[in-house]
Amino acid sequence: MEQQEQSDNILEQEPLEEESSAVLQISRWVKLITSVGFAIGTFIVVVMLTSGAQILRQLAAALPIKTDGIYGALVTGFFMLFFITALILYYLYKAAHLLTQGVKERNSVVLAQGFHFLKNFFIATAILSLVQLLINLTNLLS
Amino acid sequence: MEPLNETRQAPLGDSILTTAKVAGISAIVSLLATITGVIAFLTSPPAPVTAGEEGLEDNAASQVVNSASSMSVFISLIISMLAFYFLYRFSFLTKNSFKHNDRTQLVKALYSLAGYFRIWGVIMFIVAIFFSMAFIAGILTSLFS
Repeated sequence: MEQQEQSDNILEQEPLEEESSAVLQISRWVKLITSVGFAIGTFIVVVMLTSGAQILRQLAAALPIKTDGIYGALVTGFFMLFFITALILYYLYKAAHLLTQGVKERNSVVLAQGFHFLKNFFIATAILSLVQLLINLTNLLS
Repeated sequence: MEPLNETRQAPLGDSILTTAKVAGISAIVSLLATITGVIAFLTSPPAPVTAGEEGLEDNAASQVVNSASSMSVFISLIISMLAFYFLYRFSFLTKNSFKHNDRTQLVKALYSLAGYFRIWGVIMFIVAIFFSMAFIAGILTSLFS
């Protein structure tokens, strides 16, 4: 157990200093993405609070599909997209925070948690890409 | 030097390896989605915007709008290919580093992941600039109209 803890604490070993600098670089860029993402999200929330209904009505009118409830579908779609994006940003924020903390404290458990959040981020992006792929394939085959 | 697959026991080793595996799948699905999007655009491009639509005053303006959609598809393809390169490289090198107990490959893999996030960081920054410009333009329009 002790041996495993020792071997897990890889950042204390000299040859792995380069790895910690690479992890720090990852966390720095992820932090920038989350900061900008949260800023854009705040801007979108402000715009939607002030004139969201008007924008979505105009969008519903501009769509080629004219069916009842298209406005409701747009509102639902917007909220779904908004919460998925917020979840992705949360994963990135947690990953950046834990990776920085893990490198500073030289704690492999915290680093592992950071990579766990990165894995969640990649799962979310893979699902979004899969949805996009299915939509594109439907467009191609129709 | 200790073998890499012994030193990187759970939780950190497992965590990096599973992240790399998921990242590899995500990279492939993302590239496929972009390629099918480009094929869909090329096989059935959207109806061209004519002058008079969208408040355009002449043919030159409508040509700009029409070429902008082709440009955006081309740019998204380039971004997607770059992102795929870095993410797949991270996945491939990480798996290889654990397989061959090679730490230098793991360092390269982590720098590739940093490169992937650098691309998205720069894109997000550009998007933020456009949002700011749109915000300022909105304020100016409401002030002078």
